[in-house]
Amino acid sequence: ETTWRMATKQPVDSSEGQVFQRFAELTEEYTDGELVIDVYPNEQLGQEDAVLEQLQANIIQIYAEGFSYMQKWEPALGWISAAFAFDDYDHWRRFMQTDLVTGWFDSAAEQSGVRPLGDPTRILRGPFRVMVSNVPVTSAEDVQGIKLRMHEDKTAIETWDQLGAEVLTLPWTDVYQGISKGLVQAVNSPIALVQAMRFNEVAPYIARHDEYWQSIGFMVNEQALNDLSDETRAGLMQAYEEAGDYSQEVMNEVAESSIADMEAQGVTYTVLDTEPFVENMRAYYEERAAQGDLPEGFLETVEETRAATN
Amino acid sequence: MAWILFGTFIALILLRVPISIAIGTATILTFLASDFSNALQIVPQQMLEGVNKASLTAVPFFIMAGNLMNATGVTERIFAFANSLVGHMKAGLAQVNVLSSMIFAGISGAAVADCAGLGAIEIKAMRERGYKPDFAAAITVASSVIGPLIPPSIGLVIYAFLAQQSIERMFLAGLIPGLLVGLSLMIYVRLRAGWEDFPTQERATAREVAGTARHGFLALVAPGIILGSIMLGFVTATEAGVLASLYCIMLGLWYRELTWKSFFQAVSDTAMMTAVIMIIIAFSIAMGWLLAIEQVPQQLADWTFSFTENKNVFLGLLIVFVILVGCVVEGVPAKLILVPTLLPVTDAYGIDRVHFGIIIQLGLLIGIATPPMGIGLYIVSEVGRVRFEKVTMAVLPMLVPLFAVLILLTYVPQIATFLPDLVLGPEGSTSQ
Amino acid sequence: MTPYEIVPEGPLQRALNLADRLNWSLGGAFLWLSNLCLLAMLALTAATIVLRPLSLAQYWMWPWTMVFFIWLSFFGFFALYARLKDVRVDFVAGLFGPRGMAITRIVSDAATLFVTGILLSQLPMVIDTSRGVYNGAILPDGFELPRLALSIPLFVSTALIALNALLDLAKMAAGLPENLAESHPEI
Ligand code: NA
Ligand code: NA
Repeated sequence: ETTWRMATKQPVDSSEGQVFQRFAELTEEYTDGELVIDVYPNEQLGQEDAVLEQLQANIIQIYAEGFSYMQKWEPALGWISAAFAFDDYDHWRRFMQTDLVTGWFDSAAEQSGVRPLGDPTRILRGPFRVMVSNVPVTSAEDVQGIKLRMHEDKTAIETWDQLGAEVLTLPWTDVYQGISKGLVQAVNSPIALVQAMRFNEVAPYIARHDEYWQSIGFMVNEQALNDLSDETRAGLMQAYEEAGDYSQEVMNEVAESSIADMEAQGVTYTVLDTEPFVENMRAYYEERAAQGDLPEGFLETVEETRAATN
Repeated sequence: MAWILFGTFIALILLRVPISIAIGTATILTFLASDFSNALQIVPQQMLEGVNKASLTAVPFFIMAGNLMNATGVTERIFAFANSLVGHMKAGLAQVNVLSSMIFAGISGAAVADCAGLGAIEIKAMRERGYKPDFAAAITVASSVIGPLIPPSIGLVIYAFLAQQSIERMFLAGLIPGLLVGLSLMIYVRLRAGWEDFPTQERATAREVAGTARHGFLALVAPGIILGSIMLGFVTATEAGVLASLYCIMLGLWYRELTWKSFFQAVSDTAMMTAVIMIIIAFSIAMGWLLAIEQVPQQLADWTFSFTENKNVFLGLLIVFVILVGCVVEGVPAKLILVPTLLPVTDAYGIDRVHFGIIIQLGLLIGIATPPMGIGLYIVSEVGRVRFEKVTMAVLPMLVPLFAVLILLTYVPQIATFLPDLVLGPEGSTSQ
Repeated sequence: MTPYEIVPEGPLQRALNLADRLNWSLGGAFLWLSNLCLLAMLALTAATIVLRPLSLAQYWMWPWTMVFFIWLSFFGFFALYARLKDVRVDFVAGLFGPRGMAITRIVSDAATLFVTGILLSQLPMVIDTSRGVYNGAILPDGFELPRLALSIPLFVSTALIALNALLDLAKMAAGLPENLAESHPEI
């Protein structure tokens, strides 16, 4: 019998926390108790860099967070959640399954011994992104000059600058107060977190813009994975697949009921036409590519997967 | 494991080992005795995690404001005024000490800032007026517990995140308990002054009060300015600390009492106090990692909670448990480990999450005033230049009013929930 | 009692006292590094307060404030050790007189060497695994500060503390008194 430690940032009773719990239960079931997973929620074992170092050292075996944290080993992985580069979720999924992206993960694994457990898009996060604002946002036009909260990320800041927003940086936990005191007018957030952060109390306009697509990466220590018997590994993968289904179910359900709930409280919910954003960002990406800032083959692969047949 | 940790730590402290080295030795020995003896790279890694905490950047600036007020004579102006107001009461400056902590609480989110910044001022003034230094230091550390209850509060921000409650709701919930802690300490001081002699002085005339008010006016409005700026949302807690420091510098220039020498002395003292606190926190975060990965709190919780299904009995066990943890683990890591562990249990007993948040906040806060890890005790012994063991003894009776408030608030949840329910509406009207 | 208040006798004591004076000065230098970090934090935060309403605040200001906070703590580690700013409980040792002080002096140095030795033994591992950057802490050339740069002051301080403890043991062997903070004015 083997015990794996799995670190997460989320509280146990959050919707993501429920997915992790289900994954742990399914694993125990499908491996006949051969593999037990202990979940450590709430950054108990540290923040990203610290946890990734523990993952490398095989002190913990799984870290469930965004794959973009792996960019410290393979910088190209910083671009898998490029804003407004993809037409829709399926486009992004096709992109994530290309040899190009697989190659990036391989490169990170070579340096760190850490790799995705399975299909990197399997566990849904978000499930989609919205802009929450205290002024109506119904079109790309409305974003012009809006005071938008952003985290300290150069590319994210440049993106929204390019799209015409007036970007201010603010810690995530200060956003509620920042909006209520007029410091900022809007914030981008996964829909699932809007109510948890109570943004709707101070910003009654929610616009779905699908800024980028996200999954929760199950980053595993390769050595730990190899040490499992074939049977146990098969059970683990089955649990991963089913946890993926469960995440789709939970996330979409949470999003729907949360939107309905907020609308009942007077929130205005709209779905933006993001075509202008995608168009606008195309110029930006081409410029960055010309400067050599983008990973080789990135734009080409985005284009190739855009038109792919299903 | 717990025996190695606490045994080593206490033994080394008593053997005159500097506290940063003592807590480091205890932490590393515990690692060596655990399943993680071959993972010692965690210690420096978690030390970095410990000091890489955004909410703690407020610490140096609230220390700095206090040091600058000392360096510029502003302290004396404040105390001249406060003293002219209530100094004639029995144990007047002790009452001033508690009251000023309640006011300071509106500025500071951290108890260490109260002990280190305001504490330096209070202890100095009380010593000069003839109070025993250990009593002065003890009432300072006891009253510093008020700081992180009355908003703003770093600890309540962290709890709000962990328990998915709104920050506003948690802040409002802390207000009345914070005022109650202040009140209970003032009653304690008054009772004690009934059988013990404390320095006294004559009542100031109205003219004298007006004089000290004018003399200290610029200093007295500072808390209002700073509190106002936080409450209106213009600044974060750290920025409020910076504003306070800059305001003190300007006051020093205005009063022509700030020299380059005294300025740099204040900066140096601030840097050293901050470093002592942060190195202690750094090692305790490493310790917290080990406790978390060994699932010690969970085992402890399972063991404790296997006893009863009665909610009131459970609440009693809960506060004992929280106090014990608070004695040995710093508040931030303690919360990070305890809250997620206990929430399912407290939910099952039907305990309101806002109520639980205030219980755990006050319960862990009392730990700053208890040995062996009471960080408040170390700070006041440092800033007050009093022996650690003497403050520890002097603070023991003052824990009684703190426990009294904790017990009261544990069994009367409305003390925490009344105000937020009144202002924000009862919980549940907005689903989580 | 500081090394400058001690009159050494003989070449060995003189050499050790010289080393001790250097150590004391180095502690002062680290104290100043901590001070500079604190002043940088003050300046950056003050600038943020002023520039934010004008929408001129730069996003790198806060990450750099955090970096200076980390460095303040880690540079301060050696400074507070060398300049005797740490908290020490000496009443038990005092009960046993000079012998108690001598024994606890050895215990303190031994504990210090244990902690610093373990920390230093992990340096290769930390260098090996510390990858990536501190997000937002951009340097003039546009790159961000490597994460490893955060830990380096901790290891430098740790190494100096170890030397400090070794020096104190050597001083003890040579019959020199230990450096002590001015005693608290006691009741
Ligand atoms: Na407060
Ligand atoms: Na006080």
